[in-house]
Amino acid sequence: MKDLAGQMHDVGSAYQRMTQAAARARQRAIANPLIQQYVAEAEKYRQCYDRLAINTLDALAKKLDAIDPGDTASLTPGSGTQAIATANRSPDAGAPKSPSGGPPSGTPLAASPSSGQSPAQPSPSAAPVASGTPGSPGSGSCADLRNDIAAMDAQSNALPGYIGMRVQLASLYNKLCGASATQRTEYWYTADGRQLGPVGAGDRPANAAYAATADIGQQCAGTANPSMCALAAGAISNCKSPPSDLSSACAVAGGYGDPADTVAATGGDPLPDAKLTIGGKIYNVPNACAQALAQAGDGGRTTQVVRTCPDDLLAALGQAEGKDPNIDPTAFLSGLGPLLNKGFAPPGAASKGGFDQAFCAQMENNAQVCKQRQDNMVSCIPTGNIQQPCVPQDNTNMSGQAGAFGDCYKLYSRFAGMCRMNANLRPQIATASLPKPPPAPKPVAPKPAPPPQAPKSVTGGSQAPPPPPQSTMSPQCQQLVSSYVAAAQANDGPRALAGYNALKGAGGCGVLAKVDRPMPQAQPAAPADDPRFISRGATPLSDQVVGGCNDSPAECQRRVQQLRAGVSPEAQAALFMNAVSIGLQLGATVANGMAGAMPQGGGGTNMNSIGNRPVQHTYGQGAPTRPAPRNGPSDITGTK
Amino acid sequence: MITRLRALGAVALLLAGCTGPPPPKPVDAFQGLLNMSSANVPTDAPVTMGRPVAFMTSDNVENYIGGIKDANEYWGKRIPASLTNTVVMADIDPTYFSAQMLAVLRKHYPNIERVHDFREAVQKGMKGVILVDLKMKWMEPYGDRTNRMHVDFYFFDAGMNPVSKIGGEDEWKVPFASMEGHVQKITDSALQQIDSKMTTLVH
Repeated sequence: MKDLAGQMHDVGSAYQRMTQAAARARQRAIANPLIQQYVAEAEKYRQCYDRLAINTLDALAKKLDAIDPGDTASLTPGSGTQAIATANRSPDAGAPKSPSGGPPSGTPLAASPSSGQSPAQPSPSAAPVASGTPGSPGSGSCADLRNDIAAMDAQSNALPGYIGMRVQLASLYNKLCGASATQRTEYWYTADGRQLGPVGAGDRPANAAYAATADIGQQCAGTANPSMCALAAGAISNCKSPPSDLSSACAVAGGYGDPADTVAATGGDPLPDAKLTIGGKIYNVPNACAQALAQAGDGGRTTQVVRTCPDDLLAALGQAEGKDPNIDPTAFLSGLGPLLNKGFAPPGAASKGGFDQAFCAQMENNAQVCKQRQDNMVSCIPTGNIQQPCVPQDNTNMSGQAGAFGDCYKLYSRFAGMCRMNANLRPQIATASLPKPPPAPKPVAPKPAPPPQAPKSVTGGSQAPPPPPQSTMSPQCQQLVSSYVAAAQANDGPRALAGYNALKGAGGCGVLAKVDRPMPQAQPAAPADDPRFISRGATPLSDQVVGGCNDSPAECQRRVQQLRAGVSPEAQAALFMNAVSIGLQLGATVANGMAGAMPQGGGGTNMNSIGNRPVQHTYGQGAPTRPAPRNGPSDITGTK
Repeated sequence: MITRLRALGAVALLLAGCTGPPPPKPVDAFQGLLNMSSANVPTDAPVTMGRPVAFMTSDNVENYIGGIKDANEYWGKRIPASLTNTVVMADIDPTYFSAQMLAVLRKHYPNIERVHDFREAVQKGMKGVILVDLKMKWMEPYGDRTNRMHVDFYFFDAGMNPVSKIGGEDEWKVPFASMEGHVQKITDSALQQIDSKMTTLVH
């Protein structure tokens, strides 16, 4: 038994090491624009849901800070005045075209002076993903993002609102990594969600309300502002001849550039199905089902859920709700949203997580900070001249650092909206995106000349070829990782140890080496005379009650059963009946007391004064010979 | 009928919790145990506990038990035995909290031991300690009629440093003249939250 406990402890430590090393892996990948964005997204969500992840990410931030203060600042746009240095790490950092034909978005106005870098000399950590430099910090890829999402599926899928976040990440992945041509193709939609035709086929149809990929289109159909919804999900085709209410938001989205110019063109492996853990069992959630569930969790339509989700998942959801979808589908669907937002907590139980008002407010505030900074930003065109390294560029909202702020704004707006879950996200974005007068170009401080950059073609062919997909995890490896993580999360020592060994036996699948590390040093024991300790006084009541239960658990549990019975409806009814019974008895006693106080016999009146004279029970003339009857009043009762 | 209503009214008055002795004031979870405040302990931080593990209960738990004992004695002198509200007494019996709290601890640490204080924990060679704290807000008959239970488990490493605090809370607003104090239910709920978090965070 001791051995087993020791093993469990070892596995527990290994799991902790794994999570900490995962943070380090993220740290190494942070320079990758995709991973950077993923981490930033994950961090914000996890602040809502998962303190474990917060701590992991906090550790990451500290380590990043030690390496490059600028990187850490980029994760916290609401803090300080430093620009978010994501311009050359934004999702389009691979060199999307500027709509104006200007420089690529990877041309920040200024990095933090403290970074000690020329703003136009991208640091190694800022190397674009498409550089294809193996082993460089920027060598992360869509495959990494995909693996990270799969890892999140394995670790966090039971958290409240997870499925909504997963849908967002899938949209992001599909947009940036273009899992397939079908997933990248955007269509025009009518306001009620009817698909019209591909965006690339021609001009915007007259009845087109919005454009989106098929999955985003489905997601946004029926929302208050579907075009804004689609844009927020990354469907920037909405910016083709955009309606006026979208123009400013399109400027924000311009920070992404055209997906056709980014790594999307290369295509990545499709994302695996999302997963949900319900009642301890893992269910696959196809994309359409995930979107339907996300919509249900967002207070939207639920009808698609039954049509798109597998039967076993529906059954599990029904069981968690306590409502069978086959018996009462209406009740089942109406309970879906709360169930999803409570992290599948059983009916009546407290939510497993939720949204903190302060956090939501912070998200909204951060969004506005980013928006303000975006509005205040100017980009510059590098000149190659040391005396005047760059000239202000009048595309303040479209690309470069401004685009990065726009990106930041967009993300935070999305989180803020999701934070409220049932609130309408779109008006908030629309309000925050009201057109503002373009800021006046700001004077640009002289900076070292940037190196000449490769010209980019307007058609988007300027981007360097992306690296080949790397470290794509095989299904077997995914299974090994998933099993191991699940066992560790379940605190199942033997199974986790077996999972660890199996993963190690399989060569680590390219992930174990990133997270494995030696056992941590054991925390030294405190001395018994530690000055922090206080000699505690007597605790007789705790000794009696807690100590009693500790000494005799079985007896204590029997007492619990009695106590439970003591508050049962039967016990309550019995108490009432007892009270009623006593009350009635009291009433009877009082009543008898009153009767006793009443004048008894003889003292009454026979109403002679107002009535006829009573018959006298006697004989008149001609009376019989027998004696006359008595005429006392109580004779008939036999009491006299 | 009148007597029946009177009787029910009397019961209702008892159930509504006529003002009895004041409940104990909550104190810092570390009071009487450590020369430090519990305020800065990180919430819901992941923990890997060494073995063996011990637990102790805070002064608030002692006060909680004492408060219930005082209340029972107070009302015992004023209410005829035949009218004692056995339902409420069962609901608030501190044995229930003790048993359920222990059940959660033993689920995660089957061999967990009870210790009186940190000195005893160190002397017994414990590599981890869980301090159980309980803050109970009792319903006020003529004010906030909410019973609210907040339970915190403070996790200490082998150096007896507090490394994490995991809490659970639930409440029940007692309707007027109701005997549904739901203390057992909010106890279960608060401890269930802790149990669930421990599954994820504590290894």
